[in-house]
Amino acid sequence: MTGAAQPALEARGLVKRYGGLDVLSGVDLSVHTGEVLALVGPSGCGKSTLLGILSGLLSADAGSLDVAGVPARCFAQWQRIAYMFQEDRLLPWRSVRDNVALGLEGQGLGRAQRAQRVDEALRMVGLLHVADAWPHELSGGMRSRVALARSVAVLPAVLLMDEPFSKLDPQTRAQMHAQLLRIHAGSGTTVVFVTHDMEEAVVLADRIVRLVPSPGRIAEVIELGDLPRPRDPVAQGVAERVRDLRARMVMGPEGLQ
Amino acid sequence: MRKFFTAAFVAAATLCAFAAHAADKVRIGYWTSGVSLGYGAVLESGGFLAQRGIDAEFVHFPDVNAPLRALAAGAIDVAFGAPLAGVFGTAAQGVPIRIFSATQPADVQFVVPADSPIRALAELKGKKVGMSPAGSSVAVIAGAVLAGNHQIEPTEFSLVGGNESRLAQFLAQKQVDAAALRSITVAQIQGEVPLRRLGSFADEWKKLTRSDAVPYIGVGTARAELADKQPEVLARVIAALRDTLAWGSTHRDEVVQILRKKANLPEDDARTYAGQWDALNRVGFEPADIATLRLQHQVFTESGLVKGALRDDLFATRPYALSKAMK
Amino acid sequence: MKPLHTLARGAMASLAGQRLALAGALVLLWWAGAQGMPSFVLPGPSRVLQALEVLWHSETFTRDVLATCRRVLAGLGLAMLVGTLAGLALGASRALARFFEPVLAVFNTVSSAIWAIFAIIWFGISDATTVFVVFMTAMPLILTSVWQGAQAVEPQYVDLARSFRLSRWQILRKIHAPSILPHFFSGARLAFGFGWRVSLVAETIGASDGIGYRLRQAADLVQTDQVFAWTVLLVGLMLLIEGGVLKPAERRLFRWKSASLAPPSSHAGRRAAAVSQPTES
Repeated sequence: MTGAAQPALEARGLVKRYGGLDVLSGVDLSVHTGEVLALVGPSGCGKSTLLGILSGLLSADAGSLDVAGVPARCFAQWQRIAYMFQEDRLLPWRSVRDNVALGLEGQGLGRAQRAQRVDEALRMVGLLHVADAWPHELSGGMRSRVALARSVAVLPAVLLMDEPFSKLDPQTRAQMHAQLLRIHAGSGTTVVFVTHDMEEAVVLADRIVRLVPSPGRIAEVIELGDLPRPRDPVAQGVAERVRDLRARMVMGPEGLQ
Repeated sequence: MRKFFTAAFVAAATLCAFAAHAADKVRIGYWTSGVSLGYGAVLESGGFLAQRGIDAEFVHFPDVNAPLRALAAGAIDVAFGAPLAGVFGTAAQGVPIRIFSATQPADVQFVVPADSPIRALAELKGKKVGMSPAGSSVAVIAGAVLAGNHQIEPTEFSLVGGNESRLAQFLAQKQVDAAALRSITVAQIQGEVPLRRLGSFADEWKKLTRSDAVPYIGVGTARAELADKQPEVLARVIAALRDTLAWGSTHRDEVVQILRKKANLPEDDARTYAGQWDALNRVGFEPADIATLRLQHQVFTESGLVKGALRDDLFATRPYALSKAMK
Repeated sequence: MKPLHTLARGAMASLAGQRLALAGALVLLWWAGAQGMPSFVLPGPSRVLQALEVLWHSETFTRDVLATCRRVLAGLGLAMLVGTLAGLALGASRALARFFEPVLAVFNTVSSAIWAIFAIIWFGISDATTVFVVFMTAMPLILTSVWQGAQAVEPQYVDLARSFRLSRWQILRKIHAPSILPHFFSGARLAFGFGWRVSLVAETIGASDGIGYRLRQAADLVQTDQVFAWTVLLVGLMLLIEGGVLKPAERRLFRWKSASLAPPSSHAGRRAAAVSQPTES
């Protein structure tokens, strides 16, 4: 699962201030190529900010970031990084197909090639049959899947996701987890996601990074590589790890004050 | 900007005119409604000006005062039916224009609905009378004759202003007690709204001035430059105007057809209009006409409509005199 | 899909029927009202129809109608160009917006009659007069709509596009333009209606041909049935353009909007339900 020695993303000493507050103070993080990494923590711990900096959408006040070993200086270096927002953000004036194509339009692909990638992505999330529908005609779950297809269509090296499934009902969320894992297995994409849901973190991630606030920093990194896949939330081992994680969140050595 | 260019062009054209004589260019403007429409349409389509060696360019204006404004700005050279009150006022401000002929008599009637209790003009005291809006020649003449012949001061009747359409409507809906309407309008609506004549401008003016004169509401006006420096050209224009007048008088049917085409007038209205040809149009600048105009100026000044003295050079008599020699 | 189309067709047929009935009722009212009035005050429907026929076959008809159309289109075209560019500029720069806001207020309050007076002074009797008046009336409407549209562009969509590393120009094309288009369209629609009305006003004092000019002439010559005929013609023209050009264009451009005409319990609702069935786990 974790492959090459070179990390997909390497962050060192990241600092971000909003007003007088240190949202992130000195964060070091190494994201291994091909792994699934979860960022968890209470509100205000800076996990979404960290994700934003990793994506290039936000800039850090201090610290450095390397993308595939190369210092990230120009925005275009982040070409191979896809970012999935919390809301599906489907453009209402575009059909499903055209929405999925959005990311590809910046890449200078031919029309036929684009169409092929779009169809592939839609097939991967099982929505090829509604390719010509309008976003408002779809349910919330389907819209999330379209958003996922959109991110996947650009064949990213790294997929960053900000609480992507938090707005879905438990059944749909479980389906999305399965879908994500399938995509990950098939393409070897590195995945970093932010979540509030401990169960989700345990089911999906190879490693969990737990952050704490004021100032925002990494409290600990939890390895889950030993837990066998597929991980059923009600299975003994998995449920134990979930309970453990929840406990650490509340009462760990560097928990909430 | 446009004024500058037209003025420059006109200056250049005038200079050239001294040399050339063949076809003289004259820009003629008129209001394509009301009194000028019939005459203007015939003048345009009959080629009368070309026959006299005038290369005429016609400009159609959508309202009554526009030709005078254009004349003042130098955008046209001749307006054959400029409103008299407006001409007096403009000239008094020093704008270089000249009157070269009296052209449009005030063919206006005082009327009341046929079933009205009013039987004489004197009974209009305290009543509502519809007519062209205050400030028009019609309104001033009406005020003058009512005051002079029937002792009804302007403050003793209520002037309701409007154009012919509006006045006809007011009469029909009894929103005025009486109105001063053009004879054509009276003829047009007589069929549907029976009217009774109380008197006419012509009769009243004769009574007021103790003469045979008839008041004018429109006069032929030209730019001073044209009248003073090229009286011969203007004379030919006047001759053409006279030709038009004579022709229209004897070719009634053709006039009707021209009116129907140019103004979309239905057959009966066109006939009525054509029937009024001689009453509506004139080309005259005899001493009697000039005397009438002077008197009108006096009346207008007394009523406060027009300010300023009457300059003697306002009346350009030479072109008219020259035109009489042309056959 | 078939059932939906037949249903829609049925609904449209009954709507057309309703509209026809309404029109018929209005004509009846008109006819009744004209009975007691002289024809030069309120001409009846048949007289007006006759007058319309005469106008249709008159020499200058085509020329007048084309003249007015030409001026309105020129004025509207210019207004759309200038209004859109200015609206985008104001949307992009807050400083510019603050600076020009009072100017815009003035534009909106000055009535078209005032513009007509200025136009006559500056352009005399010419096409430019009418075009100017149409432009000055329509341009602020479009400018305001585009400006509001530019301000209403959702930042979350812009961020989305940024996250896909689209260039600034691409973002303007793919996010801003489609967001602003509905606003532009509603402004343009308003401008269209106003533009026609205002062109007639301008033509009654500043033109030598055109529908407004003819209207004025007919009124002066007490040809009230012609005045009505021209009005009926104009109304017909407007309805034609509305129904034949604007409404279909709106439907096509904005078919992605969720407002639906069919009641929820119809075939349309069932289709939507079918679409949202999850097909795989």
